[in-house]
Amino acid sequence: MGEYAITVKDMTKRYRKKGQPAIDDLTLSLHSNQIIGLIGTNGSGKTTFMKICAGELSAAGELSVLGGDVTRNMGIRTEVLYSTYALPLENYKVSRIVNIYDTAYPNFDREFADKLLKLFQIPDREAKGLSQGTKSMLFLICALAARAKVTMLDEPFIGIDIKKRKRAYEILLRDYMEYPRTFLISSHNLKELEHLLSEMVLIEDGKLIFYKDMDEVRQMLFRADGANEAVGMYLDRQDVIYHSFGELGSFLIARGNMDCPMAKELKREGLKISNVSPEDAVVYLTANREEDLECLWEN
Amino acid sequence: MSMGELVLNNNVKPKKKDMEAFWENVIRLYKVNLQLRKKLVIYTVIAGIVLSFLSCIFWILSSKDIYSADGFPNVGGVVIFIAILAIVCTEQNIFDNDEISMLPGNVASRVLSRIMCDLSMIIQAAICDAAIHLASLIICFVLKNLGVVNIAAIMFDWKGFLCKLVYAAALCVAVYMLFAIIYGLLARFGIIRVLIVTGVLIVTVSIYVSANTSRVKAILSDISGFLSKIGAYNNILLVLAVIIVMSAFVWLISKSVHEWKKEDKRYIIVGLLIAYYIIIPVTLFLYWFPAITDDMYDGSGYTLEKDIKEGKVLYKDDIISVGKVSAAELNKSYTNTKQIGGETLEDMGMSIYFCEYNDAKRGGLIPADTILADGQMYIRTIASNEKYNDKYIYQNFIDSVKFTIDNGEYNLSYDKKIVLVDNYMGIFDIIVMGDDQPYFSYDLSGYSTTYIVYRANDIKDKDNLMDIGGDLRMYLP
Repeated sequence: MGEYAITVKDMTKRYRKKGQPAIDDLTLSLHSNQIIGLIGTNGSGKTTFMKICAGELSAAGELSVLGGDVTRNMGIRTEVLYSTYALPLENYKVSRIVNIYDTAYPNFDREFADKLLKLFQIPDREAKGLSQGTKSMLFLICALAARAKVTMLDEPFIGIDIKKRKRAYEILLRDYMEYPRTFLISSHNLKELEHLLSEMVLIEDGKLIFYKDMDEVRQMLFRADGANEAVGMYLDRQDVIYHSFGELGSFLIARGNMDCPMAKELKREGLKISNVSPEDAVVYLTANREEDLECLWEN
Repeated sequence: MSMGELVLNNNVKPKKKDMEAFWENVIRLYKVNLQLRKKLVIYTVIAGIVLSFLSCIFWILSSKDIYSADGFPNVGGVVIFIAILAIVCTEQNIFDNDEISMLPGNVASRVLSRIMCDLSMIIQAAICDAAIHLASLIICFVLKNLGVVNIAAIMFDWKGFLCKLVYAAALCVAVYMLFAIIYGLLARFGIIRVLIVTGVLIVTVSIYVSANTSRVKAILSDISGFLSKIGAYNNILLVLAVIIVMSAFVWLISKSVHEWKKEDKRYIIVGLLIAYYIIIPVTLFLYWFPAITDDMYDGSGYTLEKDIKEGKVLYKDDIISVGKVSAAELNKSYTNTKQIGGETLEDMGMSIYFCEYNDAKRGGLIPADTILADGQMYIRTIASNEKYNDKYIYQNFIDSVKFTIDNGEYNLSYDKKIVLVDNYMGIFDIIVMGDDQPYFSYDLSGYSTTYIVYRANDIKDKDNLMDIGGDLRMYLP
């Protein structure tokens, strides 16, 4: 495998000819053998991007998965897996679904799948009769056992309780260490997932906001808390991406880590500087500004 | 790093390695499809077996009642019919096959694997069907040997049986393809549009036909004339015409689906057409190597003697002495329900004619040099000379026919034995049954006739003779 598992260039996908693009001129190269988080708000294009990379959807632009054309080369296609919490196989029994994955993916580890089914106590019933959490777990188990070189998991943990979720994270990480491969995971629960991820892609409205190593993401933004006047003085700075004024205090969010010149300057001015977690970073980088919400309560 | 074109790049031919991977993927998805449809297969086979054996048991039970017995226990076609029904009812997603859309594959491999799966289901159903039919055949042999049912002969032809099996499977494929195209059109254009266009077409054609009835009739007549002129091969031409129309539809559908790549379209079209074109050789084979040989006898009484000389019809002649004949007694015998099992001879489908001696000779019903002495009757029974595997189907019937007079009543009787001709799926073969007394299965209608020729001088009550015109003067009660 090369340096990159997935490379896209100028990728654009529209579901309707003149509609808003779901993916808008996206150019990106995802490293091989990493656990990458694909983060974005609802409708930001995460699922579309994954489906295109899995060869399920066509799009304009260039795409290379594992160094080839996933839409044409079936050898590559069998090394790419796309899974989500709800798949159109719910009318079948669990054992049948596992058999289907076993047949479809050449590297499927049946023994591993059976062990996980037992571990998570998934009954051999029709999937539609299972709870959402159990269904999500079932499809996650199938996806892990497939041992595809590029495994794309779209919201794989939905409905799973915290105990099983934590165990699933451990298993995913351990299996990744045993069989290094590329994981692309989209999830809304970045707080829990961030310790699992080595890299993160943030997209919004089909456009790339950033693709960074998790350590970089953690150092990407800083927060400065202080009095209204103190904070207000820095709002015209280019690196400030968000601010909030409250009765008890105000804060701003700016680009850079806690050791960057601006952070040091603010610290000198008496503002309290702190790190912005990756989850908060996503919120600040994609959220509406506070004043945008004000219109909701205007008469 | 080389970058694969995501947009359609139709000039790039897939590498051989890619082709191998493609077919490997098709096989994998085919296996997946088999797993997905396992339940459907099991239900179909169980339903088919149950229905077939119920039908077989019903036949065995009804065979004891000689008046309601049918021909060969026709259990053929049940499984394959249920299978095609089940497949067609679940075929609507053939072009997207969304159940496996998240598994490795593309449109072409998904559609091809689905077609392969459906075709293999049809083949499985055909094999199951054949097994059931053969089982019923074995039951018939056992019943024959045990004497439970009076069976004179069981006529079975392996070649014809296999041909019909393949033909039935091919017809199922044709039905399958037809529905694939309908579902394709619905998927592409939506049910509303398809219904509107179909409605508009029907209305337009109706208006045209009602405004030009004579012209349409003339065109249909020309077509019909053309088809009858080319004889037995018209079915093949019809099949060919349907194939061409369907091919055009498949092409149009594939052209209109923009998501499909050129290679995908090619695979799909080739797959669909290969599945469809297998009908042609099978159809031809059935026409060229039929189990039943010779056309059914459809001569008239006027050419009978000539047809007998030319070997076009099976016949048996008897001359019996009866003394003076009563037209009223003949009439009575003809309508006597006691002798004929509760039905009139007309209901039985056997044609019986009472003819005057001189008229019969003039009309070529009996040899011109026939001499009947006083009080004698000439009984001539004819049947079709169709052969099944070079054996006359009606030979047993002809051999066993007897005309007797008991206590002044005229009886036409036969042995009580059934001749079973394999009628698997009812394709191209006929059901034959000759059994008890002057009673025949309706299937003998038109193929068997008994002429009872009497001398006018022997008729006691001549007033009952009826002139039906022409050369023949027949008494038709």
